Amino acid sequence: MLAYALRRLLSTIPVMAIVALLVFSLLYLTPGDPAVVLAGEQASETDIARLRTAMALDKPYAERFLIWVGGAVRGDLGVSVFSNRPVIELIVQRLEPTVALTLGSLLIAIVLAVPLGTLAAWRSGGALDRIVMGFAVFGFSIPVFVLGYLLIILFSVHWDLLPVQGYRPIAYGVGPFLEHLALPALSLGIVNAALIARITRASMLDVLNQDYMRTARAKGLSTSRILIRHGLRNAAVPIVTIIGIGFAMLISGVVVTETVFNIPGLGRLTVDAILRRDYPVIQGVILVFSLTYVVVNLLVDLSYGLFDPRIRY
Amino acid sequence: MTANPPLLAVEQLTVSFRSGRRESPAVEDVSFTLDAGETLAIVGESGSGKSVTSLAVMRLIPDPPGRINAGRILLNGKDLLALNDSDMQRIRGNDIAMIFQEPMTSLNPVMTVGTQIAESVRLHQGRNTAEARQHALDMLRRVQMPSPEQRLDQYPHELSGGMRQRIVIAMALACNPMLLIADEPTTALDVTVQAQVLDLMRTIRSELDAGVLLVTHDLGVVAEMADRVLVFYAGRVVESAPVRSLMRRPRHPYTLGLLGAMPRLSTRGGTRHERLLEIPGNVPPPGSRGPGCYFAPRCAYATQECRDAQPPLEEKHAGHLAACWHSDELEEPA
Ligand SMILES: Nc1ncnc2c1ncn2[C@@H]1O[C@H](COP(=O)(O)OP(=O)(O)O)[C@@H](O)[C@H]1O
Ligand SMILES: [Mg+2]
Repeated sequence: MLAYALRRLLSTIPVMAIVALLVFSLLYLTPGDPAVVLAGEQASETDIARLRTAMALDKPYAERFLIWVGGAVRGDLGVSVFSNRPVIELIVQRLEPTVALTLGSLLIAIVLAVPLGTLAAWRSGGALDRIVMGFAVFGFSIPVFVLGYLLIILFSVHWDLLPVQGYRPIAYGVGPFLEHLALPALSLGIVNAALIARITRASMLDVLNQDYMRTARAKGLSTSRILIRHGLRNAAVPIVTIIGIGFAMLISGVVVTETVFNIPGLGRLTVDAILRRDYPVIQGVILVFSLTYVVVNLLVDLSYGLFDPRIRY
Repeated sequence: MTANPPLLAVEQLTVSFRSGRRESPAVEDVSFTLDAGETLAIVGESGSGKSVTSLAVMRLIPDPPGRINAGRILLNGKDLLALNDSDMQRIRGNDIAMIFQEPMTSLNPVMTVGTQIAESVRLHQGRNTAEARQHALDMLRRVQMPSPEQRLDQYPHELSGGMRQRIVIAMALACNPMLLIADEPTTALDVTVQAQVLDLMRTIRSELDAGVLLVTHDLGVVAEMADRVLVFYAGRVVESAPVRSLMRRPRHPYTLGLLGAMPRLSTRGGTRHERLLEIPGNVPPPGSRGPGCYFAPRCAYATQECRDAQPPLEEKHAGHLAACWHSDELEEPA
């Protein structure tokens, strides 16, 4: 297991290298002189020349890439063209709201979807099943921003229960933090909940038909114990897989949700950076998102062995 | 004077399965009793309703599509069909336990076998984890599992078919059930392992005062294990008799056919021959059954009477019942 974990960890290195190469090339895929692109529209000739030497743009491509990667590995992602501050600093500043939003919505998705999907499978064909699957179709088809505005209108404007927009860091108190997080996490969580509920249902349906589930009933176990202890553990691998895949969708959802709810997170940083053509920031954010995704996938892979002892590494 | 009720009494049980709009019976009007310490075998071709009957006793008929339409199932005089779910859960695995046919698939693949055996003891006897684990170990010794300590923490996929069936048996016996239902416990196993598992079941039966309902389609197993036999045909009991009486002189042509299909020696050239299906013809599907005896289309003795009216299950000899209009004309098996 440990050896496998190490091997899997090592195998992420080439993946990350390819990601890094693509992210780095981003700048050079856009037409024009990178120095001009970087410096922005109002830059003077001297500004551009200064930038060219500062960013080693006069060096060969491969060398520049290695310099950039070397910096990135040490946490140096360059300097924002717009604010002149280190990219890594901007990212760290914006990290908390995004992490809170991502984990919050993931938590909501799992807490909603796994029990509902399980119950739907248990009562498949019945009213509960239809309600849950109806909810899943709805949740999956409604765009995040539409759902976000709907929730704002209902909970903030109509019932005046929750703040309309914004973010409060957890350091200023858990109460306000949760109040502000609730609606964005919910609107982002629903899409994922829909996906996870469907997979949970399908996976559980398969498991419920297995002989060992009848054995469990023959022991006199209660329904809840049969479903949770015997059912869910056997159904877990596809569920965990879809949670991992859903994570990738969360990243794009974060950009939209942070815009709708005016949350100063990485998503907003990305949007702003794109609008300002702030390439070092764009590169940095994409790199962070990719790294997160690779790590989540790694964790998902490793978790299979915890759920199913037949999986040997 | 009130006699003690039998351990198990099944009365006029009918179970049917729905497919689309049609509901067809899998078991029809089945009645039998079983006493403590007794082994009752149910034999019959595959599809004759043996498993459905044993699942009905556990109230484990998958619903939908299945349903118990009529009848009573009395355990020590108490009707199981009248119990609510939680009372039935207290009986399952505790008073009544079941050994299933498929050891390869009837164990949970993601739980250690020790946990699976300990689970019902913890549930029904309220033992703590350590006690239940010790009990599981004792059970493994009882089913003669090689190196039991080591097995406790293994998963089903690490064990052979024979070992898995021992686990299934250990699980069933964990709470000392008064009624043990074994649905073809050896069918899925290799011949040599079959013999070992049968040996084990015999030992256990002699230690236990439980009643055993043994489902099998192997008359060799019946001869070795059972006290009495029920012969099922197309969901109905066609003959019910003590083993020796049945073997000596069957009173139903179907049983005669089964006995004729049974090899004289249970092993021939090392392998057991499966020849139950050598009676010509097939079991009529529920839709195409006439008003008469379901076996009539395949029966050498059938007359018009047989095609017109279902023969009742009647006593033909002391303790020997058969449902046939022509019982007295049957020849003794050659
Ligand atoms: N889950 C089920 N769904 C539909 N029909 C079933 C089901 N289980 C059993 N049956 C019906 O009941 C009949 C008897 O099956 P069963 O009791 O399993 O036979 P066997 O004597 O081989 O154990 C089958 O022929 C089938 O038509
Ligand atoms: Mg069967």
